[in-house]
Amino acid sequence: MSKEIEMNNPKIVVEDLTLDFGKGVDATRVLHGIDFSVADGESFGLVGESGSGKTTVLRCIAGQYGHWMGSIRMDGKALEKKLTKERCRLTQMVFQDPYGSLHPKQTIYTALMEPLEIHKIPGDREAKIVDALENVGLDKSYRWRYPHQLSGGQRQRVAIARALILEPRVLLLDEPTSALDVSIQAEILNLLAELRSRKGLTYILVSHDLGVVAHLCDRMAVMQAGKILETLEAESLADAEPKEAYTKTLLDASREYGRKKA
Amino acid sequence: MTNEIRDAPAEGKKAASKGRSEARKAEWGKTAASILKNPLTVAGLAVIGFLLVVAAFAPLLATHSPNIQNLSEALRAPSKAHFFGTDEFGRDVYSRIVYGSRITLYIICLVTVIVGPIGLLVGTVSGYLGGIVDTIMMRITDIFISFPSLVLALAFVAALGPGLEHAVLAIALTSWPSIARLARAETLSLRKADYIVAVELQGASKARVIFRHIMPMCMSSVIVRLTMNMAGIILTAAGLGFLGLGALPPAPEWGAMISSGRRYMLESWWLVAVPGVAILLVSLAFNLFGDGLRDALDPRLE
Amino acid sequence: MDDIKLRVESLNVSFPNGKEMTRAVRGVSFALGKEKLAIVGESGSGKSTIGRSLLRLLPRKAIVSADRLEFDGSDILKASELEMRSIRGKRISMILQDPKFSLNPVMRIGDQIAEAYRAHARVGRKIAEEKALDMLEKVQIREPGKAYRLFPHEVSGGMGQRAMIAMMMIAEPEIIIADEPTSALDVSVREQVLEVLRELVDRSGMGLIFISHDLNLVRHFCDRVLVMYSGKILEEIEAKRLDEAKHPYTRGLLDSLPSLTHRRSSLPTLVRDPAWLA
Repeated sequence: MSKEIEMNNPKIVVEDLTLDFGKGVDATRVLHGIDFSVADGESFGLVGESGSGKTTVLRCIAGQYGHWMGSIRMDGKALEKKLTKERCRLTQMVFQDPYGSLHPKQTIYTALMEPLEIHKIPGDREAKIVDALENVGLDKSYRWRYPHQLSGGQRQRVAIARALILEPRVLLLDEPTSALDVSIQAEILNLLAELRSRKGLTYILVSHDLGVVAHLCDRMAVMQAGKILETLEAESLADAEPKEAYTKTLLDASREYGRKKA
Repeated sequence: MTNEIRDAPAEGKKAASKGRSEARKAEWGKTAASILKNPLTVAGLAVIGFLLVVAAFAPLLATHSPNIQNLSEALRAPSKAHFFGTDEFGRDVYSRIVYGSRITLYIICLVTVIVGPIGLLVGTVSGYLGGIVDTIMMRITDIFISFPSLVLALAFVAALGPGLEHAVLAIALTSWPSIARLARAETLSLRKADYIVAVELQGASKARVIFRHIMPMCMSSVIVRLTMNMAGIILTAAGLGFLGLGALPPAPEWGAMISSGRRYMLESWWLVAVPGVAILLVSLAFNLFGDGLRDALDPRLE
Repeated sequence: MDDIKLRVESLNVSFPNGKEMTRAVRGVSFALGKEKLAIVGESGSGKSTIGRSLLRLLPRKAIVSADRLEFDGSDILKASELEMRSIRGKRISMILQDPKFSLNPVMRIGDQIAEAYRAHARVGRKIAEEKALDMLEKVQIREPGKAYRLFPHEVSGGMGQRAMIAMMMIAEPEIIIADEPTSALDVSVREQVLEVLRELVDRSGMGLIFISHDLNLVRHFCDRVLVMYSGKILEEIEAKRLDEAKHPYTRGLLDSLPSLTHRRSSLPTLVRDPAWLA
């Protein structure tokens, strides 16, 4: 279990988050009492390898899984387990695979209009769509394209635009750049950093890549086998002396990839 | 093999279509183009088109009335006066074939209109909602599948009396389960896709997800399956007609023509051969077209 | 460089795409000796296509041409399918990316390794089994006897990949082509697999072509690096001198990597010069 840093008015507080998959004898526990807090406007990372449970935590916060135990609070209020319309406007998710997160048979326009229609957003919806695209650096003419006419980086931008169109305060990012080429990754990371500072968003970023997390996040929690091992500050990551052996392994593997050899 | 061209710049290097209708038209255009690439598909489509024309212009194309009997002209071989000869009542076989195309078309359309929507609805709802709904619907589907269409048709005829509509209903009732199963299988794999999860996380109701997001994805395979099924439907209808369970005499239904022509088959081969070839051609055409349609539609799903 | 095993001069690979031609590899030339050569590039750069063209594993419609495609004196381009079969797996082997997809799911991994051996050496089952067990040990799999009897879905990614390495190296090839061998693996497991690969390659003196998109990985692992973009080699440089890379694309790639040790508020983005496509 990790110790959260004392903070006034944390945006998100996760306490003792526990989740089992399956029922009865076949149940496997995938999350074991996860605790962490995220401050308003902070960017928090969840680092771990496959099977660590990091994406599961994200999906619980997003509302995709409703059968978790424990508590998740946003702005002091407990998050409902059901996906009500109000809930959807609190957090939104950007998925990992840009090739799977947009409906193949819908134009970008339709994909962006859908949340506006579901929530019956008043005002000029067309203008909101154009705005959303411009925010992520895409020309408005892109709204008539189909996903297969866009590159991976462009699709991911659309995914970000779609996540932001309902104006959530918290963005949940599930390995948003791991399926992209290195050069495109840099563009998307820059975009995410810029959006966060401009709109004052709070991010929870899941990644297996310490470099990405170090770049985009202020603090990060290292997860393994459904537990948080420890929490680190991104700034001091380069010289960090981690307590856990596993964290050390991860750091060493990424440090070796540092640009200037230590 | 890792996807080599993954981040290649956008396909649409030409200026992005200005407007939703243009975008959609472009997509349809591409589908049409890939359909037309395959000569066999085009052949199938041509035959189907031909069938439609014949049915539409039957009164103009027929040389005689299909029902008027002329016993003095009975069992004449094909000639200039009667292109396909005459049957045992002296009716012109050619004209009967031409009018019979209408019946064939009627059967196909009616069955498709019943089977398509029902199968799609049951399959997607069942696959998406899962749980008890899925179990119940699948058991109902199983019950219908276990009836051979001929047996069900016999039951209908016994209960309601013979007739084309009853036969069609019987065929439809035994064909929808395969569509439902297909739609369900597709839905089960689609359910976990990120783009479906994304729209759920946006607060879409279950109905919205099913109708606006899942059904469009199932459309292509359902359409292809329906097209392929049509061949089977025609043959089943012909079989029923052959048994005297379909169109009532004197309707020029092709299957019924084969049935009544059976008796005179050895001397008057045209009575059986001509409707038989007609059935063969139309079934083949639908099969070929369905094949080509699948090739054109499916790869683009990726 | 002495004992050059492979010579490639002006390799071109194109795929017909409707009415157009996609040129996947354009005029690529390089030589491979007893070294670890990296071919690095982003998606669409043509790096995987090169690997497959060396083994003539491209689809039929691919058009391959070269001034010279020579392996140990014999011309690969003109070799017959029969001749290629005696080269593939035996003299040139290939390790693929994801053991989930590259291992036969219905065969025990030990049997697959043994089968690979028997394909090229006329030996009985017993001997092949022993050799397979021996190989499993060489790739640092503990309890090789137990591992032998496992199915691919029962082993972890790292173990599966090492089994794949065992399978591809058992016939003692002269060249190994590794196509993104660690990309599907977790970070903590990568080191181990690379260690195994490094040891086997160094010990036997084979040539290794390491295809990857991860510049940082290859700079520590390989001897020489070829940087590819859009089918062409833009730069060829010694791995340890990568920091001195001259080509703006290479520099751009290096600069745009987020780094633990070197945090910046904004990552420099790569500006693609259309001149590189020429």
